Amino acid sequence: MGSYIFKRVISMIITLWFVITITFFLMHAIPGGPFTSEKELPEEVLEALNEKYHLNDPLYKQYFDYLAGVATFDLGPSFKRIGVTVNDLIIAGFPVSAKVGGLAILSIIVVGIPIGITSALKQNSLTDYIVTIFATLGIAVPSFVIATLIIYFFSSKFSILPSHGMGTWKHYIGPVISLSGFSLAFVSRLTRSSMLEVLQQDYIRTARAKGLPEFVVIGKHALKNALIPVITYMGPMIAAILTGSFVIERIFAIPGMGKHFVESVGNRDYTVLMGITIFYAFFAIVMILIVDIAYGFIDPRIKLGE
Amino acid sequence: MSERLLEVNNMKTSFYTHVGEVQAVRGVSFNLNKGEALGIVGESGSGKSVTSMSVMGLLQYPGKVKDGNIIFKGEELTKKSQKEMMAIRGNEIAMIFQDPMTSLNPVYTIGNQIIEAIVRHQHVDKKEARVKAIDMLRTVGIPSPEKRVDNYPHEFSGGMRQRAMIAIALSCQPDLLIADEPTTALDVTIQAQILELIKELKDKMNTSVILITHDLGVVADVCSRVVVMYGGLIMEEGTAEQIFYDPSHPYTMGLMKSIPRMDTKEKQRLIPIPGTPPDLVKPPKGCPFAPRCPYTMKICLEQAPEYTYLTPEHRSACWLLHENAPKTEVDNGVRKEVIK
Repeated sequence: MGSYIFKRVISMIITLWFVITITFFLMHAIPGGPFTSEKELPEEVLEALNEKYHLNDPLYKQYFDYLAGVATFDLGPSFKRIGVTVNDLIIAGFPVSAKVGGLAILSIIVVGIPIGITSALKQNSLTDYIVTIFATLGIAVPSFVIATLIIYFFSSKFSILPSHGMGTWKHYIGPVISLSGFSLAFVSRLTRSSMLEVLQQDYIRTARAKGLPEFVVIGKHALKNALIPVITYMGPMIAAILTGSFVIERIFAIPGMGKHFVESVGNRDYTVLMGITIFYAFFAIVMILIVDIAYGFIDPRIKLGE
Repeated sequence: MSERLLEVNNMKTSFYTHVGEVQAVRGVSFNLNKGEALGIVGESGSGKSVTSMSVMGLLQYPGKVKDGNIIFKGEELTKKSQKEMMAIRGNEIAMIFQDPMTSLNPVYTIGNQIIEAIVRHQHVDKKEARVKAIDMLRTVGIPSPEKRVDNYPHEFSGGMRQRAMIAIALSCQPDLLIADEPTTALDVTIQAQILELIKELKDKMNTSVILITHDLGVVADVCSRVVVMYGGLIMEEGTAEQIFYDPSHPYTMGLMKSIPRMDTKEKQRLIPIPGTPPDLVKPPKGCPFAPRCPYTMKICLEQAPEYTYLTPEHRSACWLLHENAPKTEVDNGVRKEVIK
């Protein structure tokens, strides 16, 4: 187990290096720079700024400096916000994204999985059909449409929910619903189909033949097997949701990571853009590792590191 | 006269599918005494597995026992609630299945799966149940059961898994063990070992056994009485000797001719029964075997035959045995051909 995790950490570092290198050179391949703007800056000012942020250094030097910075968890200063580092932005933005994302994930697990199980157990019943319709809608309708509809009806027409910002618990309802919509629908569909498949298995018949009550047959014997594919999906999903949906944070004006990311694209704020990309990649890789380790606990047939 | 354990009377089981009612079992009667082993043979789709699932109360939607009685230890099982059946299943009637590879839950240890059956039906705690589970594994011939109890199914071979299944089934000392093709998925040497084990434990625990198989060799080895099923009906029933040495139904005779025997010559071909089993959505009104029978008469297609009792325990549903049937040549001819 120890050597397995060690190997995985090594491969994580290599993956991150690829991400850093590709983002870095892509960023610098784009013409113009962070200080290009409609209003021409005086030559001296531009020169001073380039000097300050080492933009005059040869590209390879900038690259190695940046790598050295990332290795010491220093993602550099923001070009556009004076005196603010990328680390500051992540430290400020991530908890906000994570809070909304955490609630979204919680609702996916607490609502999505039970819904999937219920519709599998009542296959082809009215409940199942209703769930299927909503799940298909949830998968088909993009999150920004859901978000806009929520704002239109609940904030603007009926004025029961606030339309933007963070504060009371009411502020969380809109973002959490729009953020979890797709995954909730997807997880419930996945749980349903996986459960239906597991219920056909011989070991379920064996469990019934032992005289076990139905809730043990479902809750113990079927569920653990049925959740294996769901967990596969949950790893990358958790990473994506926790790091914040750019679009949803933009619509609800939530000061999370996604908002900073979108702004940095418009501003050509290289370091912020790269920093958030790297942070996101790092988070995704860690979540995948956690899922892989979790497999070992759920499915004994999977032996890690052999 | 030993004690009657199970009595099935005119049991009919159907599956109500969207193509129509599949009449899988169309009126089956048999009985079983304590400590006895009964074989149910027949080809795929003859209704033998459905019969056993009906007795277990394990029919899944859309299957249903629509008529008849199942009397177990003097009690009517068809009238029992799901909850009452749960207390019987695994405790008084246990079952082992065809494929040991898929019949055990891959994500729980063998021990866990035995222990849960013991804890469910006996008033013992987990610790005691574990000791019993280890004992049970030893009984079924698993080496070093103290260690093996914590293994997962994938760490067991096919034969060992079937032994583990038997351990689960017998952990509560059931009165009746239903073995549904217990050796079909195993190779021949392991087959013999598993059958030996079932026979041995049956005598040791005085458990009655219903052995469901399409392998006549397996039946001959274990069972004292045999029921031959076809098209959801019992074609012939008798002691093992009667069925093997004095079969009276053309279907039984066909089965006998289709398996190799010690005295089969090297180049001699086995004789299969031509045709396929009847469609049970539209079961034939006459004898279900008539379309494939080499001796079909007009009446066979029109009216289902009643049972003719050749001896008190040997009965057969065939028009050839009717007193008006052209007895002489066909009857004797068929029999001689098979017995010789």
